[in-house]
Amino acid sequence: MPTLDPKMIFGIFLILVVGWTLIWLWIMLRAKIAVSYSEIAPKAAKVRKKLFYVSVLILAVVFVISMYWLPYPVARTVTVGEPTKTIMITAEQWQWTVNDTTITKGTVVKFILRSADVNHGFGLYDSDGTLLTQAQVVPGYDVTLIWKFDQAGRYTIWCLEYCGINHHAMTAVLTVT
Amino acid sequence: MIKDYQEGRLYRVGLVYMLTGFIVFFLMGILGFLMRAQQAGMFQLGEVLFYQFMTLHGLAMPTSVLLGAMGGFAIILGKDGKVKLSIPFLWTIFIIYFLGAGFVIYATLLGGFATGWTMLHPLPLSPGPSSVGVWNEITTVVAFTGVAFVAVSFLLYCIHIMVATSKAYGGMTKALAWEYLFSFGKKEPKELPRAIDIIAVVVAIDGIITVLSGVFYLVPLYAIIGGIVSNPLDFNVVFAKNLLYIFGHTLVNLNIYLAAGLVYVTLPEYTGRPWKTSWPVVAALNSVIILVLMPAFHHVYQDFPQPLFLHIIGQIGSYGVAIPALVVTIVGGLTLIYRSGMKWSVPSIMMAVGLWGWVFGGIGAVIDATIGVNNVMHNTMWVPAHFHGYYLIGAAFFVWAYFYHVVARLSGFEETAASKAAAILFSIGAAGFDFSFFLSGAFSVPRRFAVYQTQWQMFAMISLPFIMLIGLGVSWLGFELLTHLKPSWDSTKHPTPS
Repeated sequence: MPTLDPKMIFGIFLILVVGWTLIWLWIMLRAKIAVSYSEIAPKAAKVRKKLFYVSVLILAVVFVISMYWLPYPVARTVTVGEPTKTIMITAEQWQWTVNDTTITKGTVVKFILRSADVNHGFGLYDSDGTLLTQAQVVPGYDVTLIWKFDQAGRYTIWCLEYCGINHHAMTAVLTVT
Repeated sequence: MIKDYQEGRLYRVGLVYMLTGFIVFFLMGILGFLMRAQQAGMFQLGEVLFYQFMTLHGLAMPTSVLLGAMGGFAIILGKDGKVKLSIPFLWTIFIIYFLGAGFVIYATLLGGFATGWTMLHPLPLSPGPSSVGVWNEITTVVAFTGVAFVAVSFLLYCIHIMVATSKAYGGMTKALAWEYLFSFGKKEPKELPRAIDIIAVVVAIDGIITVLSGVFYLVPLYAIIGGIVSNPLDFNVVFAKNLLYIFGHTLVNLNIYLAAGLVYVTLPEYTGRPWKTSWPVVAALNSVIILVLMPAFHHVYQDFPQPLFLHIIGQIGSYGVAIPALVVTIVGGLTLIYRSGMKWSVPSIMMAVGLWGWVFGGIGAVIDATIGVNNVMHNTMWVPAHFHGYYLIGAAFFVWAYFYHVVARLSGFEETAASKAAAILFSIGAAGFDFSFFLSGAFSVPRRFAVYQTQWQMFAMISLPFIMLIGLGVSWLGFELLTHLKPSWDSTKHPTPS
């Protein structure tokens, strides 16, 4: 998978939040009990030390693993393959101009994204409404985004950078057959 | 409670900062509710007004909490007399801040300025077709000037607390306890600075850098509007974004450290346990000088022209800055509470919930600071979810807890069961509404959309009852604060020397 599923990410978030909330509640439910601080402080110092090393280790491991999902063209050509089709997209307040909206299933597409005015955000949504990938469309640059269309269906482009008062209406459709 | 005339004056200026911040916070909350109601399809502001409100909410909500934090922090920093703060200077800062806020309110509500808080170059200069009724160059200049005033007042505040704290300890490195830090605790000076003294200098150093970044962002924009630079794109858009986020992101994060300082001082009063300056505390707070500046780059992960090494720095910094906050401040706060015999009251409830909220939002923040995750979460509702977590349920809870603590102590009023119930309603409302933001992010709902597709409206509807709970809780606490403000104010004029 060249990209992560937002709902899976939410699942990880939920597990961490529930764990943290249980720890927090456990401490809060014991707040009213009075014990000398001299008993608590040394234990807390040990917890703090362990927590430091454990959190550094976990974050370091996550950091390394997470590099697999880098969205930049160099990484995407490794995770999804070399593009075989190029689509030019121009964004302007408040519309997308797409030179080809029909894609064959299984194609690796190179999107060249240009802005004619301000910053826009190219957000690619699948037919279930899940955000698959995105890139900022930056004035003054040709931005390259690579994506492989594994599933047939109707894909929607939404603007994911606020670009003025019709920002929410800036949408386009790609069809994968 | 007030020992001398000087301390009374300090409390008065601090109270005005906190009261002003609290009122703005409440009003901005109402705007938030109206925007969410429109997204739920239950109320119609119209698109234009929605984005004007969104811009004002985005600019004024964080700065209201910042103003409250600045006022509260000035009190705790200066009340013992060790760090000598200038009261006239603090009033001057307040006036500049207030003027800036006035410019922003004028530009957004009357001038139609609706660029979002980010004012992302070149949007302020390219509002789109004029037929749809948008802002013009004059309102853009007014808005920029408002933001510049707020930034300058924060700059003056930073310079003041840095100079005053450094003077108190005979130099900046002594106020940062560097000898103690770099000897790994072996060379302990006669008097270690308090955690809040270190926070003052850390926030000041980064605050100055932050404001300079904001200045570097605004000056070219003024130059373009003034016709000195003819092509807006001569000011590189990606470079501009970096400056903007170093300014905006870091300012908000520094606010959290000011707010945490309030907890360092106030929580011990409820738990009866001191928050001592230990080596881990010194190391953690000093590490923030560097670490707090790095995460701003995570705002531009999806700007592919940005050099890769800056993306990587953003991820490392975003992970890194979480560690001292978790290991020192969160664990330190929980250690103070655990089996302390603490009685639950409005400030202690809000500080405890604030610790929860800081981590709740922080988990969402660290997850989203992973570049691959950000690719499917950036500019969805996950983003406001994470910062409403650590900012609303974290920083704002700390600041308003301190405001309540000060008013209660000064006026001598006894809180009731209703007061605690209001604090709990505020907490449940904040947690519930923020959770609905995270849920929206999980379902890829975009942020900053005035009009929602039908399938997204349900997520906005879920928020509304929780925002009402916040409204109820904050209204009750606000009523108590306002009705006890006069006796609090009066008590600052009658010192009782110890």
